[in-house]
Amino acid sequence: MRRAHAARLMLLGGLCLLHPFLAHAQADAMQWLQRASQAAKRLSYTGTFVYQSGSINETSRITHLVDAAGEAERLEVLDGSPREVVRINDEVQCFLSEQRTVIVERRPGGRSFPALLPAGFGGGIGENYVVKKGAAGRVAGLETQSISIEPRDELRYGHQWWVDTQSGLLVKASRIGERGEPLETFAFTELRIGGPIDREAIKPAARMKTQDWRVQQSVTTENRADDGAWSFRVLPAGFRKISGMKRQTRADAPPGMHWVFSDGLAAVSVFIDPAGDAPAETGLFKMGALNVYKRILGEHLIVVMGDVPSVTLKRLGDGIEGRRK
Amino acid sequence: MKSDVSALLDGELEAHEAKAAFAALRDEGELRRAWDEYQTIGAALRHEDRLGACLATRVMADLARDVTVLAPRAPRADAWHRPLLALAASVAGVAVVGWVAFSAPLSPAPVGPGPMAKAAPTPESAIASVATAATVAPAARREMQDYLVAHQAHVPAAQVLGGTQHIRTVSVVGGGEGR
Repeated sequence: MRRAHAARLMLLGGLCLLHPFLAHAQADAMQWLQRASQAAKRLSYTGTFVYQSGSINETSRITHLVDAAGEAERLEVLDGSPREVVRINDEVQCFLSEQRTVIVERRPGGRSFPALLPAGFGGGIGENYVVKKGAAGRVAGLETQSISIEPRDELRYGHQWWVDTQSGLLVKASRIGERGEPLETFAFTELRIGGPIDREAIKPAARMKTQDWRVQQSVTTENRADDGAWSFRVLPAGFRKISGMKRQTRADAPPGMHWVFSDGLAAVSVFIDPAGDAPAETGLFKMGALNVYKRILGEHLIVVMGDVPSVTLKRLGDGIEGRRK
Repeated sequence: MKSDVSALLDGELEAHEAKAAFAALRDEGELRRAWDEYQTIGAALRHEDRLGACLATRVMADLARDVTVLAPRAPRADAWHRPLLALAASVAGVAVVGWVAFSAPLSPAPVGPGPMAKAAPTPESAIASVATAATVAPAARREMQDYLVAHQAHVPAAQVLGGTQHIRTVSVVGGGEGR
């Protein structure tokens, strides 16, 4: 009798001990994510990584430089047609040699992302995902801690991350589909953190001449509070609006709108533009690892895209209505 | 996954497994080739003489001749129903190859209700779900590239993935896909 009582007490005690332990485990894993997000902004590094998604399998070189002038980085694809992305603080330039085009996109207001997210990085991650520490292991010769991020519902995908234990930098990341298959994987094969990095290293290659290239530049102005003539009747659970912009892509066309929604990790963009004369294809599409949903609403084309399942895009897109005046 | 394709051909998968296998078949070129190979092997074993013809083309020709063949019911596990499962699976298989042909990565139009829609009216069937997403065609892709660049420039994931996430933009836009 006494023994049974003691066993019951032990069980109860064990459960009481376990609960804070589980909460602590999630908090511990979340700290790793915080660390990774800070390392990505603050560290200078240069390395080679492989990107794999569906039929895409490409090796690229990346250099990230942080100094008094701010952040700058250059990504150079080493396989196939030469392509580069150069980012200097808030301006992103994509050089596409095959199309002889450079696309320039600038984030409005010069604000960096932590300011855009109301609760800083990670707001919403805990509610929408279960974050757990996994096994330790080696990636690109570095000791890493793996972190698994499992979705709490079918509106988002899971992730598996490997964080360098020393620097906190994310050195490998996989996005996981509904069937447990990797949808896309970034993995460094070689990485040098810190050390002197020449500013020359972030200049686009000489062959990326823009003289006879088409320059496509859109002008965006932040417009976060006012959704204009549009209302979002359905927000997929866990997602909230983190930015809203007016976008002018061509001088001779009326401006469109661009909103970004996030659940703390995944992001969905909604674009509303005047529909062109040519009938647009509508429905669900894939662009590489991203899903896309297009629909026509009156005289407008709605494009919803993001690294989330199609169902999330459709729910958000179908809930958009023109506001009655 | 190849074993799933094989099991699918043999009608050995449960409804939910078959759905996943159809989706995988549509998404992955390698699996589609495996499917074609298995069909070819099957045809050789059955001593069919049209080995060389492209399966999808044959399926489309068959469809044009006889659309009523494509009304597969959801397979049930009832014992009396079992012998029909293999047949149902192969009918569904024929349909899925048809869809795959429609939604091949470089097809110019998104998959929508095609001629098959009349023949397979059950929207919740695996076949319909296969048709939910098409790959953006090269022409449309160019039109979509602005949106993609804008999306990638403004997503908060950039905080953690750093610049590596921009590879998504140039991999799709630059035509790294489908090579």
